Amino acid sequence: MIRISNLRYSYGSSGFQLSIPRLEVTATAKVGIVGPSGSGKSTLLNLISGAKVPNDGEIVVGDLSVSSMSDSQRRNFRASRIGFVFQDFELLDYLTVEENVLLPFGINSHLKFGQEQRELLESLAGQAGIAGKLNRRPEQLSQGERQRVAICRALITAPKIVLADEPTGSLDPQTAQEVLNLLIDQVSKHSATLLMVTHDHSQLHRLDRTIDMAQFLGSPVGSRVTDSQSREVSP
Amino acid sequence: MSAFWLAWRYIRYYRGRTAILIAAISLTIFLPLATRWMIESFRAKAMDRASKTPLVVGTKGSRFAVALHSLYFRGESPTPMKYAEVERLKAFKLAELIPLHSRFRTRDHAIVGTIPAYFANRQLGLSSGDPMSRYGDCVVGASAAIRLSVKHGDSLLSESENLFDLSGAAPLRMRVTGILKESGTADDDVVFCELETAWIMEGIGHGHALKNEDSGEHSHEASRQNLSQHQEVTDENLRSFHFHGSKAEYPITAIIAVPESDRSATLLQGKYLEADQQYQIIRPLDVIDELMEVVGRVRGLFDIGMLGLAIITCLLVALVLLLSLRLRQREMRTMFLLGCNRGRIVQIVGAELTIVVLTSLAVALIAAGLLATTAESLMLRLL
Repeated sequence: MIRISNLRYSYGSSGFQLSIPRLEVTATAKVGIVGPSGSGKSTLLNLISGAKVPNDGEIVVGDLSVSSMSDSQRRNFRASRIGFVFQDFELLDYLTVEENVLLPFGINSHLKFGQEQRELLESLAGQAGIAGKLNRRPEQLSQGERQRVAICRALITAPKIVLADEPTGSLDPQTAQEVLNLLIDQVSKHSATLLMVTHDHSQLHRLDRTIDMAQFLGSPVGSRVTDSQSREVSP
Repeated sequence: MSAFWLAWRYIRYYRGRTAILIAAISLTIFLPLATRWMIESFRAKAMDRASKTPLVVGTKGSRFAVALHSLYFRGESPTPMKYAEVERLKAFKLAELIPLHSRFRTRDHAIVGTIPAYFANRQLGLSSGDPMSRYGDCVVGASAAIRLSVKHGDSLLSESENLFDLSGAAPLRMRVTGILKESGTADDDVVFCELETAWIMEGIGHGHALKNEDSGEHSHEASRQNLSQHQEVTDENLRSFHFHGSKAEYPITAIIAVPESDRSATLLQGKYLEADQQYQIIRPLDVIDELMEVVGRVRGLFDIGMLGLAIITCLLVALVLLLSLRLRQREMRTMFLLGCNRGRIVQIVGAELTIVVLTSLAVALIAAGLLATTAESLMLRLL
């Protein structure tokens, strides 16, 4: 379960201010996050993962208070409990597909890679349809295949939460549908919680609930984006 | 996945840009290093050779020209001196005298006419074949033999002094009787012959049919009868070779003097103190030392230029690194989100830089080392 209470986050001189009095996401829920550009969708993911620290308030994931963790604790939390899927895949060109999937183990010394993880890799690669392409480089794959690799990387550490920031934003509709199916199937299979930022409202019916970020914006920007809120949220 | 492993994968994938970076850094290290090593190596070898050549007598003029000619057989042929000078010095009994004659060349290699004492003094031995036994024979230095593609039993043709001077000395075909062992000195690039063979090339000695073979009576009617002189010494025509004029008048280009003691050396140097002397005596060690001082001063200027270049290269490498980090911000961000700490990211970038710098250093050291080993011949070409 993710529980956010009295969260306030602002940065710079842009006037951006995010204010979330109360927000709860139950474990294994699949939640869509919508809202206009600049409404704090990605910021919310970063706050939950501990990549950003709120000015005020509390974020609790499971029984851990992310907002009161130290830097290294947040890093370890992110490495072991969170899986990320990005719009532009963010795979490393100089590594093979397999090395990209196993990257979290390579850059986090406290994550141990063993037989269990090897089996998980084989299982994920098989289900994502990239089993035969583990030795290729990302540039040798299609866009859809790259996102499948990114999904495998997000799930290889068996995270409790998967944060997906517009995972189908760079894909054609058909591929987007296939990738979304894979993401939802795998998240369900691993009993993880999914928070997915999307601009594609046609995908929302696949999810359990939707959070509209416009409602959490502070007054300076909030009044401006509230006008577009109905356009963004209504399916 | 260690930081070095990730760094290696990155470098290997972007090998093109890494190679350019390594080349730039290597060159910056290589140039001053190679220059320094090359000069040091040349200095050591030059001083060694000079120290084994205590005194040299040559015609008055540039001391550097006399030293370089007698040690390395390089540069313009000096004004010839008369063999009489050897006989004059012999009378003093102060030193062993080794006359040199080096005016002719064969395919860009100096032909040096000398006496057997030269080989003993330089400790030159044969790797194959036999020593010279008659006029027209020659022994070839190890490097020259390779470049000229000759072995003992082959022949070498001396070059005419002037292609357009039909009255000048004609080329002489020499018999290669042996190849010298490699000495790592200028002697490796030289073709040695007897002094008399060099005088035959000068046209002072020649061979042609005698008027009366039995009596050995000498006549030059052969030339008037349009009979050509022998261009090669053979067993058959050896007896027909002879010299004209007084030996004292025959040309040589330098005399190496190996004095018996320091006192002998001083006394010998004293023989050249008179102002009207047409010859000079030099201590090659002093001359080469002086030459090296000049080279050292030039190197100092070069080092200043190199320092400027090194600073510019360092700034450019720093710029490349900063731009590279900027381009890789997303990659760094991804690693950070995947739980990688900033220290680890710094380790990866540091490992990349270490690999590039160490590789550049290795390339520069190897290249400079290779160049330094061939320093002597390279420096000689520059002289």
